[in-house]
Amino acid sequence: MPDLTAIQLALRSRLLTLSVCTTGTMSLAATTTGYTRLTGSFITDGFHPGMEVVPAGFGTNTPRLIKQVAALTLTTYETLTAEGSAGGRSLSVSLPAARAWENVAFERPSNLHPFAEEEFVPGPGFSPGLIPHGIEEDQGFYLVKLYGPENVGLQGITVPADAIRDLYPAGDSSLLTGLRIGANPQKPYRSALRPDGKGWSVVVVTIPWRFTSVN
Amino acid sequence: MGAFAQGVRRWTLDVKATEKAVFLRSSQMAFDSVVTGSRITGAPGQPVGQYGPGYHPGRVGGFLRASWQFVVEAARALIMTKTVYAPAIEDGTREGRQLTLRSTVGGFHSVKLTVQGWQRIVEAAIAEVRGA
Repeated sequence: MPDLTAIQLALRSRLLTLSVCTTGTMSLAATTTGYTRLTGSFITDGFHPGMEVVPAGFGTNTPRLIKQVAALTLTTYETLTAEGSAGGRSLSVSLPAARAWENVAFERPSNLHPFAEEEFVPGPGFSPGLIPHGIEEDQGFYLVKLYGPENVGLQGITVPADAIRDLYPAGDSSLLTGLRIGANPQKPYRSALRPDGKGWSVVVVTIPWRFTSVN
Repeated sequence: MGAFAQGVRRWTLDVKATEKAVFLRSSQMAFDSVVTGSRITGAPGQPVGQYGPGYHPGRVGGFLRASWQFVVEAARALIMTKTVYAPAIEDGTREGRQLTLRSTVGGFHSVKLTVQGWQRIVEAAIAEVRGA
Protein backbone atom coordinates (compact mmCIF):
# COMPACT_ATOMS: atom_id res chain seq x y z
CA MET A 1 0.00 0.00 0.00
CA PRO A 2 1.29 3.48 -0.76
CA ASP A 3 2.37 5.72 2.09
CA LEU A 4 0.41 8.79 1.02
CA THR A 5 1.91 10.94 3.76
CA ALA A 6 5.41 10.10 2.54
CA ILE A 7 4.36 11.03 -1.00
CA GLN A 8 2.96 14.38 0.15
CA LEU A 9 6.04 15.20 2.21
CA ALA A 10 8.34 14.29 -0.68
CA LEU A 11 6.41 16.59 -2.99
CA ARG A 12 6.47 19.35 -0.36
CA SER A 13 10.24 18.97 0.11
CA ARG A 14 10.74 19.60 -3.58
CA LEU A 15 8.50 22.67 -3.40
CA LEU A 16 10.68 24.16 -0.66
CA THR A 17 13.65 24.19 -3.04
CA LEU A 18 11.93 26.67 -5.35
CA SER A 19 14.17 29.42 -6.70
CA VAL A 20 12.46 31.83 -9.09
CA CYS A 21 15.17 34.45 -9.58
CA THR A 22 18.13 35.99 -7.77
CA THR A 23 20.76 38.65 -8.16
CA GLY A 24 23.36 36.29 -6.81
CA THR A 25 25.78 37.62 -4.20
CA MET A 26 26.84 41.10 -5.19
CA SER A 27 27.05 44.74 -4.11
CA LEU A 28 23.63 46.21 -3.35
CA ALA A 29 22.21 49.21 -1.50
CA ALA A 30 18.87 49.93 0.15
CA THR A 31 17.04 53.24 -0.18
CA THR A 32 13.82 54.31 1.52
CA THR A 33 11.90 53.18 -1.57
CA GLY A 34 13.67 49.93 -2.45
CA TYR A 35 17.01 48.51 -3.58
CA THR A 36 19.65 49.66 -6.03
CA ARG A 37 22.62 48.17 -7.84
CA LEU A 38 25.41 49.63 -9.93
CA THR A 39 25.95 46.74 -12.33
CA GLY A 40 23.77 44.11 -13.99
CA SER A 41 20.00 44.35 -14.25
CA PHE A 42 17.05 43.43 -12.06
CA ILE A 43 15.03 43.03 -15.26
CA THR A 44 17.49 40.57 -16.79
CA ASP A 45 17.63 38.67 -13.49
CA GLY A 46 13.87 38.06 -13.82
CA PHE A 47 12.27 40.22 -11.13
CA HIS A 48 8.70 41.42 -11.68
CA PRO A 49 6.16 43.58 -9.83
CA GLY A 50 4.04 41.55 -7.44
CA MET A 51 6.84 39.17 -6.46
CA GLU A 52 8.01 38.89 -2.89
CA VAL A 53 11.73 39.56 -2.72
CA VAL A 54 13.86 38.28 0.13
CA PRO A 55 16.97 40.31 0.95
CA ALA A 56 20.09 38.76 2.44
CA GLY A 57 23.10 40.49 3.94
CA PHE A 58 21.25 43.72 4.80
CA GLY A 59 20.61 45.11 8.27
CA THR A 60 16.96 44.24 7.80
CA ASN A 61 16.12 41.17 5.75
CA THR A 62 12.34 41.24 5.89
CA PRO A 63 10.63 40.02 2.67
CA ARG A 64 9.27 42.92 0.58
CA LEU A 65 6.66 43.23 -2.14
CA ILE A 66 8.02 44.53 -5.45
CA LYS A 67 6.20 47.54 -6.89
CA GLN A 68 8.34 48.40 -9.88
CA VAL A 69 11.39 46.99 -11.63
CA ALA A 70 14.06 48.91 -13.56
CA ALA A 71 17.52 47.78 -14.57
CA LEU A 72 19.26 49.30 -11.55
CA THR A 73 16.34 49.97 -9.21
CA LEU A 74 13.87 47.70 -7.47
CA THR A 75 11.03 49.70 -5.91
CA THR A 76 9.03 48.15 -3.06
CA TYR A 77 5.64 48.95 -1.60
CA GLU A 78 7.14 49.20 1.87
CA THR A 79 9.36 52.00 3.15
CA LEU A 80 12.85 50.73 3.95
CA THR A 81 15.75 51.92 6.06
CA ALA A 82 18.49 53.25 3.79
CA GLU A 83 21.76 51.30 3.79
CA GLY A 84 24.83 52.19 1.75
CA SER A 85 26.13 49.94 -0.97
CA ALA A 86 28.01 46.89 0.26
CA GLY A 87 29.05 43.53 -1.10
CA GLY A 88 27.99 40.07 0.06
CA ARG A 89 24.30 40.84 -0.40
CA SER A 90 21.60 39.32 -2.52
CA LEU A 91 17.94 39.65 -3.44
CA SER A 92 16.02 36.50 -4.27
CA VAL A 93 12.52 35.32 -5.04
CA SER A 94 11.62 31.83 -3.88
CA LEU A 95 8.51 30.23 -2.36
CA PRO A 96 6.62 33.02 -0.55
CA ALA A 97 7.39 33.23 3.15
CA ALA A 98 3.70 32.71 4.02
CA ARG A 99 2.78 29.08 3.37
CA ALA A 100 -0.50 27.36 4.10
CA TRP A 101 0.37 23.73 4.76
CA GLU A 102 -2.52 21.31 5.13
CA ASN A 103 -4.16 21.28 8.54
CA VAL A 104 -1.84 23.94 9.97
CA ALA A 105 -3.38 27.16 11.28
CA PHE A 106 -2.74 29.94 8.79
CA GLU A 107 -3.59 33.60 8.45
CA ARG A 108 -3.41 35.26 5.05
CA PRO A 109 -0.82 38.05 4.93
CA SER A 110 -2.66 41.28 5.78
CA ASN A 111 -0.33 43.25 3.48
CA LEU A 112 -1.31 41.29 0.35
CA HIS A 113 2.09 39.64 0.11
CA PRO A 114 1.96 36.49 -2.04
CA PHE A 115 1.41 33.19 -0.29
CA ALA A 116 1.36 29.53 -1.27
CA GLU A 117 -1.17 26.92 -0.28
CA GLU A 118 -0.76 23.18 -0.77
CA GLU A 119 -3.45 20.56 -1.25
CA PHE A 120 -2.85 16.86 -1.65
CA VAL A 121 -5.54 14.98 -3.56
CA PRO A 122 -5.22 11.19 -3.69
CA GLY A 123 -7.12 9.42 -6.42
CA PRO A 124 -8.37 5.84 -6.59
CA GLY A 125 -5.89 2.98 -6.63
CA PHE A 126 -5.88 0.20 -9.19
CA SER A 127 -4.76 -3.37 -9.08
CA PRO A 128 -4.74 -5.79 -12.01
CA GLY A 129 -6.30 -8.40 -9.75
CA LEU A 130 -5.71 -10.28 -6.56
CA ILE A 131 -2.36 -11.52 -7.71
CA PRO A 132 0.21 -12.10 -4.94
CA HIS A 133 3.10 -9.70 -5.44
CA GLY A 134 1.24 -8.01 -8.28
CA ILE A 135 1.75 -4.38 -9.14
CA GLU A 136 -0.66 -1.85 -7.67
CA GLU A 137 -0.92 1.66 -8.98
CA ASP A 138 -2.18 4.76 -7.20
CA GLN A 139 -2.43 8.20 -8.62
CA GLY A 140 -3.48 11.66 -7.56
CA PHE A 141 -2.18 15.17 -7.65
CA TYR A 142 -0.44 17.75 -5.56
CA LEU A 143 -1.83 21.25 -5.92
CA VAL A 144 0.07 24.41 -5.21
CA LYS A 145 -2.14 27.48 -5.18
CA LEU A 146 -0.14 30.64 -5.53
CA TYR A 147 -1.97 33.77 -4.39
CA GLY A 148 -0.84 37.31 -5.02
CA PRO A 149 -2.20 40.83 -5.07
CA GLU A 150 -4.57 41.91 -7.84
CA ASN A 151 -3.73 44.63 -10.33
CA VAL A 152 0.04 44.51 -10.05
CA GLY A 153 0.76 42.72 -13.31
CA LEU A 154 0.88 39.24 -14.71
CA GLN A 155 4.38 37.93 -14.08
CA GLY A 156 4.40 38.51 -10.33
CA ILE A 157 2.31 35.35 -9.99
CA THR A 158 2.66 33.50 -13.29
CA VAL A 159 6.46 33.41 -13.38
CA PRO A 160 6.73 31.80 -9.91
CA ALA A 161 3.86 29.46 -10.87
CA ASP A 162 5.74 28.36 -13.98
CA ALA A 163 8.85 27.86 -11.87
CA ILE A 164 6.86 25.62 -9.51
CA ARG A 165 5.54 23.60 -12.45
CA ASP A 166 9.08 23.23 -13.80
CA LEU A 167 10.28 21.90 -10.44
CA TYR A 168 8.38 18.70 -11.23
CA PRO A 169 9.42 17.43 -14.67
CA ALA A 170 7.18 14.70 -16.05
CA GLY A 171 8.76 11.29 -15.58
CA ASP A 172 10.90 12.37 -12.63
CA SER A 173 11.21 9.41 -10.26
CA SER A 174 13.89 10.77 -7.94
CA LEU A 175 11.58 11.99 -5.16
CA LEU A 176 10.63 8.67 -3.61
CA THR A 177 10.91 5.01 -4.56
CA GLY A 178 7.84 4.11 -6.61
CA LEU A 179 6.76 7.71 -7.12
CA ARG A 180 6.76 9.21 -10.58
CA ILE A 181 5.74 12.72 -11.60
CA GLY A 182 3.00 12.80 -14.21
CA ALA A 183 0.23 10.35 -14.87
CA ASN A 184 0.03 9.19 -18.45
CA PRO A 185 -0.70 11.22 -20.53
CA GLN A 186 -0.59 14.15 -18.13
CA LYS A 187 2.33 16.28 -17.12
CA PRO A 188 2.32 19.09 -14.55
CA TYR A 189 0.41 22.18 -15.66
CA ARG A 190 -0.85 25.46 -14.30
CA SER A 191 -4.16 27.26 -14.56
CA ALA A 192 -4.84 30.68 -15.96
CA LEU A 193 -4.45 33.63 -13.62
CA ARG A 194 -7.84 34.10 -11.98
CA PRO A 195 -9.15 36.99 -9.87
CA ASP A 196 -10.24 35.43 -6.59
CA GLY A 197 -11.84 38.42 -4.88
CA LYS A 198 -10.95 40.66 -1.92
CA GLY A 199 -7.78 41.88 -3.67
CA TRP A 200 -6.35 38.46 -4.45
CA SER A 201 -5.46 36.67 -7.67
CA VAL A 202 -4.62 33.00 -7.84
CA VAL A 203 -2.86 30.53 -10.12
CA VAL A 204 -3.18 26.81 -9.43
CA VAL A 205 -0.31 24.48 -10.32
CA THR A 206 -1.37 20.85 -10.69
CA ILE A 207 1.27 18.16 -10.28
CA PRO A 208 -0.09 14.73 -11.20
CA TRP A 209 1.72 11.81 -9.62
CA ARG A 210 1.65 8.05 -9.93
CA PHE A 211 2.84 5.55 -7.38
CA THR A 212 3.47 1.90 -8.08
CA SER A 213 3.94 -0.69 -5.39
CA VAL A 214 3.84 -4.44 -4.96
CA ASN A 215 0.86 -5.83 -3.08
CA MET B 1 -16.55 -7.93 -54.60
CA GLY B 2 -14.89 -11.14 -53.46
CA ALA B 3 -15.53 -12.85 -50.15
CA PHE B 4 -12.19 -11.70 -48.78
CA ALA B 5 -12.86 -8.06 -49.70
CA GLN B 6 -16.34 -8.31 -48.17
CA GLY B 7 -14.82 -9.71 -44.99
CA VAL B 8 -12.31 -6.89 -44.79
CA ARG B 9 -15.06 -4.33 -45.35
CA ARG B 10 -17.27 -5.89 -42.68
CA TRP B 11 -14.34 -5.92 -40.26
CA THR B 12 -13.57 -2.27 -41.02
CA LEU B 13 -17.18 -1.28 -40.39
CA ASP B 14 -17.18 -3.22 -37.13
CA VAL B 15 -14.03 -1.47 -35.96
CA LYS B 16 -15.47 1.94 -36.84
CA ALA B 17 -18.72 1.16 -35.04
CA THR B 18 -16.83 -0.02 -31.96
CA GLU B 19 -14.62 3.04 -32.04
CA LYS B 20 -17.66 5.30 -32.18
CA ALA B 21 -19.36 3.42 -29.35
CA VAL B 22 -16.23 3.66 -27.16
CA PHE B 23 -15.90 7.36 -27.95
CA LEU B 24 -19.52 8.07 -27.01
CA ARG B 25 -19.43 5.96 -23.86
CA SER B 26 -16.08 7.43 -22.75
CA SER B 27 -17.35 10.96 -23.27
CA GLN B 28 -20.55 10.24 -21.35
CA MET B 29 -18.53 8.70 -18.50
CA ALA B 30 -16.28 11.78 -18.40
CA PHE B 31 -19.33 14.04 -18.23
CA ASP B 32 -20.84 11.96 -15.44
CA SER B 33 -17.52 12.04 -13.60
CA VAL B 34 -17.38 15.83 -13.71
CA VAL B 35 -21.01 16.39 -12.77
CA THR B 36 -22.07 13.57 -10.46
CA GLY B 37 -18.77 11.89 -9.66
CA SER B 38 -17.17 8.59 -10.58
CA ARG B 39 -15.59 5.68 -8.76
CA ILE B 40 -13.34 5.19 -11.79
CA THR B 41 -11.70 8.63 -11.55
CA GLY B 42 -12.36 9.37 -7.89
CA ALA B 43 -13.99 12.67 -8.88
CA PRO B 44 -16.63 13.71 -6.33
CA GLY B 45 -18.83 15.59 -8.80
CA GLN B 46 -20.16 19.10 -8.39
CA PRO B 47 -21.26 20.26 -4.94
CA VAL B 48 -24.77 21.59 -4.48
CA GLY B 49 -25.60 24.72 -2.51
CA GLN B 50 -27.22 24.03 0.84
CA TYR B 51 -30.51 25.83 1.22
CA GLY B 52 -33.31 25.73 3.68
CA PRO B 53 -34.72 27.59 6.66
CA GLY B 54 -32.31 30.30 7.69
CA TYR B 55 -29.91 29.65 4.87
CA HIS B 56 -30.50 31.37 1.53
CA PRO B 57 -34.29 31.34 2.05
CA GLY B 58 -36.34 31.11 -1.12
CA ARG B 59 -33.49 29.87 -3.26
CA VAL B 60 -32.92 26.45 -4.72
CA GLY B 61 -29.49 24.81 -4.94
CA GLY B 62 -27.99 22.87 -7.85
CA PHE B 63 -27.44 25.70 -10.32
CA LEU B 64 -23.80 24.78 -10.99
CA ARG B 65 -24.48 21.08 -11.30
CA ALA B 66 -27.34 21.71 -13.73
CA SER B 67 -25.32 24.16 -15.78
CA TRP B 68 -22.88 21.56 -17.12
CA GLN B 69 -23.58 20.64 -20.72
CA PHE B 70 -22.58 17.69 -22.83
CA VAL B 71 -22.43 18.24 -26.58
CA VAL B 72 -21.29 15.68 -29.12
CA GLU B 73 -20.06 16.99 -32.43
CA ALA B 74 -18.76 15.02 -35.38
CA ALA B 75 -15.39 14.04 -33.95
CA ARG B 76 -15.36 15.52 -30.48
CA ALA B 77 -17.39 15.83 -27.33
CA LEU B 78 -17.64 19.04 -25.34
CA ILE B 79 -18.11 19.12 -21.57
CA MET B 80 -18.64 22.70 -20.53
CA THR B 81 -20.27 25.22 -18.25
CA LYS B 82 -20.65 28.96 -18.45
CA THR B 83 -21.20 29.38 -14.71
CA VAL B 84 -18.86 32.13 -13.65
CA TYR B 85 -17.93 30.58 -10.30
CA ALA B 86 -17.24 27.10 -11.69
CA PRO B 87 -13.43 27.63 -11.71
CA ALA B 88 -13.53 28.71 -8.04
CA ILE B 89 -15.43 25.53 -7.16
CA GLU B 90 -13.04 23.44 -9.24
CA ASP B 91 -10.00 24.86 -7.44
CA GLY B 92 -11.71 25.25 -4.07
CA THR B 93 -10.63 28.86 -3.58
CA ARG B 94 -12.42 32.13 -3.00
CA GLU B 95 -11.16 35.50 -1.79
CA GLY B 96 -7.69 34.20 -1.12
CA ARG B 97 -8.68 31.30 1.07
CA GLN B 98 -9.66 27.66 0.76
CA LEU B 99 -13.37 27.06 0.40
CA THR B 100 -15.09 25.02 3.06
CA LEU B 101 -17.16 22.21 1.58
CA ARG B 102 -20.65 22.38 3.07
CA SER B 103 -22.47 20.36 0.44
CA THR B 104 -23.37 16.82 1.41
CA VAL B 105 -22.66 15.74 -2.17
CA GLY B 106 -19.86 16.52 -4.58
CA GLY B 107 -16.64 18.35 -3.91
CA PHE B 108 -13.74 20.10 -5.59
CA HIS B 109 -11.30 19.15 -8.37
CA SER B 110 -13.72 16.99 -10.36
CA VAL B 111 -12.45 18.23 -13.72
CA LYS B 112 -8.82 17.63 -12.79
CA LEU B 113 -9.56 14.15 -11.45
CA THR B 114 -11.56 13.32 -14.56
CA VAL B 115 -8.76 14.41 -16.86
CA GLN B 116 -6.28 12.43 -14.81
CA GLY B 117 -8.52 9.37 -14.94
CA TRP B 118 -9.21 9.57 -18.68
CA GLN B 119 -7.18 6.46 -19.50
CA ARG B 120 -9.18 4.51 -16.89
CA ILE B 121 -12.41 5.84 -18.34
CA VAL B 122 -11.48 4.64 -21.82
CA GLU B 123 -10.53 1.22 -20.44
CA ALA B 124 -13.89 0.97 -18.65
CA ALA B 125 -15.75 2.08 -21.78
CA ILE B 126 -13.96 -0.51 -23.92
CA ALA B 127 -14.85 -3.22 -21.39
CA GLU B 128 -18.50 -2.14 -21.46
CA VAL B 129 -18.71 -1.97 -25.25
CA ARG B 130 -17.01 -5.32 -25.69
CA GLY B 131 -19.30 -6.89 -23.14
CA ALA B 132 -22.40 -5.48 -24.82
